[in-house]
Amino acid sequence: MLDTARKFRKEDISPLSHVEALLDRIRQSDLNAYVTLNGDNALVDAKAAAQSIDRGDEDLLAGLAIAVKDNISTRNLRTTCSSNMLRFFVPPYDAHVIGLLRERGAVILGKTNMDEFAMGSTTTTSAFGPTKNPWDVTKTPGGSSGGSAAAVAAGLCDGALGSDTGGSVRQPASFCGITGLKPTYGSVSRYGLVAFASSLDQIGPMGRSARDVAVLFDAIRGHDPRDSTSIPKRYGRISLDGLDLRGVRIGVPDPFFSEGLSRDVERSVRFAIALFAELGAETVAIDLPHIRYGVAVYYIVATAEASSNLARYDGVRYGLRDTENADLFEMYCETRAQGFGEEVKRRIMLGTYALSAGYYDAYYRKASQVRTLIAEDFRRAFKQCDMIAGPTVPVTAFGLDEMVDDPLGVYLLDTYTIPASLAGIPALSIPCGFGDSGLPVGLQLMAPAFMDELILGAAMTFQDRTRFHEVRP
Amino acid sequence: MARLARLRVNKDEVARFCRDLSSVLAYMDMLREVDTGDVEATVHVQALVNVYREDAPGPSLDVGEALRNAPRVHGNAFEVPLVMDED
Repeated sequence: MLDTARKFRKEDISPLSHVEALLDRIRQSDLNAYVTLNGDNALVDAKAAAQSIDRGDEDLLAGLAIAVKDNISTRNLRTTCSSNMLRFFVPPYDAHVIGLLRERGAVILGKTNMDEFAMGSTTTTSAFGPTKNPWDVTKTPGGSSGGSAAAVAAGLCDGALGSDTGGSVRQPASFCGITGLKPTYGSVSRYGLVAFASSLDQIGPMGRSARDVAVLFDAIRGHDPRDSTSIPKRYGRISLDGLDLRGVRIGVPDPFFSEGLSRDVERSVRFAIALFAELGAETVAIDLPHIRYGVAVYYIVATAEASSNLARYDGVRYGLRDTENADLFEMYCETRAQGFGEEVKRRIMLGTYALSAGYYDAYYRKASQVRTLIAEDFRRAFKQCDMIAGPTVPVTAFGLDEMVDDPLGVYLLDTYTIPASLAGIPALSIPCGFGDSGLPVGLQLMAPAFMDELILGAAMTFQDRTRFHEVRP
Repeated sequence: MARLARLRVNKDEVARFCRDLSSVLAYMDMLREVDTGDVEATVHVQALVNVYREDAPGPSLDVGEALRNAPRVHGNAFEVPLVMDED
């Protein structure tokens, strides 16, 4: 991405021909990474960026082509959440992050495929068909931001935005061999992000390197009064120098290396941690005793919030409507039966159950209390270390049809990404090797709230010493 | 539960969802072993208190834009099935 920005200045290529070439590549690609292309409008924006660069615009983002997950509102550009419910929905406004990118001259290239309403880890629950992993088209790219991850890995954009609720940026980043950040909760505005689980959702940048991700993150973070969970804080520019790792204490949590972790993933992750040590970091064994409850807590909290958030799809103001029924109750039930896919229905029912009278204390309240204990585990751990390292996912990418009949099995794959989401802390995934099948392995770094730059810096230093992020499918 | 969530489900779906949800709920039972006596529930991960804004009118969507995605429109309004009986 930064190379492309430099090429625009040296006039090797112009943003217009660059965007044209990308649109051609996307149309010829069979990965199904995009749901909707911004086509002619992207060309108009690229032309404007070209003129701006000619006039001396130094902004790194000017003319760069960004892919946007299809749950982020784009004015006059269809936003479907990969659901039949919103198949024809055209937002009347831009999400906060889209406004920020446009102001900087970035070109919105198109909208990327995802698990329906971001509920899934495979991008197979999309109403527009699955996205394929560029490293092996029989494998899943991960999810739910699988379209964005595949587009970055296959060179079908310069950088991308995804969203992460329990791992939806980091897990596909890991499966596709790219870098992806789930920022500190509250540092990026959720205005215009279609709500799934509001206390967990964060928009996150995805790119081919930690520096690309840092530049995108720099552009999208900041306080926004239109999101009441956005933190009123001023941020400086993010350094692209990399972090001096000498004396940095890296926590290695035992529970992240327990049963269920594939040996090939463990090998690559251990290699990465050893490299950090070689660069001067000190490794510290830490314990996070409540992490093992993370998946159970998450699938109560997230589905409860989802069941409430998705009540808005009632066939009245926007989205699908069953027009056969004259009865209001029947219209609701029929509209939602037709509009939502199976996984979304499953989660709405689970969340409705967890919030229903008689079960609220046993499920939702209990889960919210254990969530506090998980956050406290991290607080304690960060007294012993500056950041935490471990695997992003226990496995490498698996077959597209492999886990369709095993919802709980898919949920359990989120074991390592969920804790940071529940605690609201920043976490990123970077490529750190290849597994036995030749597919990418991701290393996850986590830091205390608002220390996103620390893990980005460590990732830059790691990438200065390794080439995993440069290998292309 | 489907009725409460305003979802129509057919027989096959009922069987499948019952099976899936039972296994997920059985897994979640592990939370019972955690002693959460006086632990406060997390409602928000950052230390934010209520955020208020001035109650002042500002620019908002115009009616045409707001209605553009509506499945059924009547004049300047969203059209819905009868909510109350006619008589």
